[in-house]
Amino acid sequence: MKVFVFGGGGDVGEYLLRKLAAENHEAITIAETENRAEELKMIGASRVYVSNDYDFIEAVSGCEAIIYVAGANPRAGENRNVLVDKEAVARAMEEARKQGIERVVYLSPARVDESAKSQETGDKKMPEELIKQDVFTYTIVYSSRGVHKPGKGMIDVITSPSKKVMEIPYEDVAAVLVESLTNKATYNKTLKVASGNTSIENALKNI
Amino acid sequence: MGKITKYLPSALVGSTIAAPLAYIAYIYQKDNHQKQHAVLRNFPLLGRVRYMAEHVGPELRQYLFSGDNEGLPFSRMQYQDIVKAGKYNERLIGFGSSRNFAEDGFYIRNSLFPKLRTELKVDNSQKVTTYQYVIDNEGLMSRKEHREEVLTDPYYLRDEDAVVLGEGYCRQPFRIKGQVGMSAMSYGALGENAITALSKGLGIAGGTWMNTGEGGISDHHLAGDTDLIMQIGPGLFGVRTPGGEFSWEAFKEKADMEKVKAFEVKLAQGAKTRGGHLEGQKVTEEIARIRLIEPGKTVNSPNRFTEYDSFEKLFGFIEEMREIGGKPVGMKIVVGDVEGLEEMVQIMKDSGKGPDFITIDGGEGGTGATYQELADSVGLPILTALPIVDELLRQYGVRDRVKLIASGKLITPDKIAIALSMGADLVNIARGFMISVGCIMAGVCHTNTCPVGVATTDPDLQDGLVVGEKMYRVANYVMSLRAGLFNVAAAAGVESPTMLERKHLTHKDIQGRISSVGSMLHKIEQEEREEKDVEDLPVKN
Repeated sequence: MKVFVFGGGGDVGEYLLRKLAAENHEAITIAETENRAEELKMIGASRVYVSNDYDFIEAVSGCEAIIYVAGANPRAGENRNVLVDKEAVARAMEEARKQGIERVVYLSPARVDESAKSQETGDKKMPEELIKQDVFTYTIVYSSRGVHKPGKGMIDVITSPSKKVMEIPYEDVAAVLVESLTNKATYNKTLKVASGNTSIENALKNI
Repeated sequence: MGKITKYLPSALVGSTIAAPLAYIAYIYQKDNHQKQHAVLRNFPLLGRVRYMAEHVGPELRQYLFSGDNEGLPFSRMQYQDIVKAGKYNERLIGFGSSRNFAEDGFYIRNSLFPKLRTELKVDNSQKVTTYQYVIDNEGLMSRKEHREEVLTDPYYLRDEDAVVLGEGYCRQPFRIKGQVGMSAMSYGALGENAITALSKGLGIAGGTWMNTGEGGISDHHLAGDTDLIMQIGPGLFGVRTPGGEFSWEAFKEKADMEKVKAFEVKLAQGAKTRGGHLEGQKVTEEIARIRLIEPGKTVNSPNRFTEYDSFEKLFGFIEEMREIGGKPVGMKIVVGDVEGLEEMVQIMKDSGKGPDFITIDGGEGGTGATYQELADSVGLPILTALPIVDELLRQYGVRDRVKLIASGKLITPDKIAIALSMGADLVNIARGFMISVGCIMAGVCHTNTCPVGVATTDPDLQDGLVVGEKMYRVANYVMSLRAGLFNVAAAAGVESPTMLERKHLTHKDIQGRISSVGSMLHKIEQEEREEKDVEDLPVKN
């Protein structure tokens, strides 16, 4: 599948590009500099646009799905009081709608183990309404605290809110996003995941 | 029965007092009559305090009384920097530097516009799985910590920046994606556990190499997945006939090993401008088998390769090795005789022959065993030696043919960066790696009694060194050094540590004045000229 990845250069993003390449998907992403673009290609992106000179329409066209790892780009220049670049999400979703891209997997910057108040800080939940439009088959993922440990491929889908700080390797977050792409059980749902005892495939199948 | 109960208490009391007194009297007599120590003859018993204090002095100084930046060869701070990098994969410090800024020294010239992380030419496309420690809670008497598996960025050089030994000169050049490797440490000088942990750790980190030392290639060097540079010393261990001649057959056999990527002819090392030395206690049967020597007998390599006493002959030998082995051949030297080096470089230029790389070991370099007089006063330290060689090679237009490997206490990223700026392409570390596998700087490498099982072949002492634990520290140490190099490069305003040059360095003297380190030889010549000018001044009458 040809997938456009927003946020390919971050902690989750790098694992995402690796995972997509490993599963024979075609990953297209954006980088801040030529040098970073080169790096992301080494990691596994099949095509990388450099942010200050790419043609957005050209970049997204032909893609069958979007994986959006939400965050705020310090260069985006939107209000500094946000932790997610809502305008960027709006622009991406608008373009996706125009191009007829239906499948959207979105990783929220808000974490499973944050308090409700903390989840609202910096407008972290704001862009979700843009994702939940009728034209899209969406999956919204909340993860627990990411760590640089090797992925175990084992997660739990969290159903009740918890204050306990749980962790999950970035590699597993990436695997959840890639698995969600084609797993119909995740369509139009919001998932909360942390490291656990079920294989990612089974955990997502039985939501 | 009645008598025993009656006299036992007083007998016990009497003997607990009398026995020590008798012992003291015995020692007193013994001290008084011995002829070895004057202080004991004059002050029996009391004089013993001197010997006890002298014996525990180094430990007391190291652990209690020396300041954090005192103590040589490595201060407590330097030691901790290595241990923390290996154990916690951590180089962060709090509050500020403890360097003495009043002293003179080299500094990296920081750019006002450093490079961003996204601008660095680094290759982190493959992550490395390793283990590191995390402290949970630290109290006065205990520290709670646990080891966890992590994915780490290895900080390799990009393919286009990789350092290549012997490119265009031999059939199988050696490409290296990192600038830090392990200096020559023989199996025998270090035990099998240490060598195995090093080999495996370097293999995990990748982008590095292991120099076998002149003691030949052992199975322990081959235990991990790391590239080897085989060192050949004047003793020819591992490549000689039973009669002591160089064996081309044995050499070819080594050259055909896939893990062996290059050869290094050792003319000298910083701590001793002579052949290797291995005390008899360390020569086990296995080591004797690898080196074809007698077990239990002290090994002394000759001071130089008996046959090769001129650059022409030496270069001929190097050419033949490169031709037969198909792999790069370098030489390890200590700099002192600048005119001699100039002659060498002249011959390199005229004949088109010479080594693919030159390893320059500073006089401050370490060793398992040497003589004080050679260690302290023979051979120049690395930050003098290295720029001289770099400049001579440039002056004669042969710098691009040969890579320079520098060594001599270059154990932290800043020191390595200074050496790279001075002209080194690569850096060798030995003692830093020993510390990463558990060395506590007891300073007894030559005695086979290393208390942490690193520099010993004693199986009981080696029991303390757990390979599965220490190998990750080795890997973390290398990766941390490489990460630190990129950190310094970014601060200096360049995209990769391979781009560090003299212009990124400045020297501050004790009065706070700075000077460039552009040309060492030029400075020597200028001073000579000035001296001459003074002599030539007409004498006024």
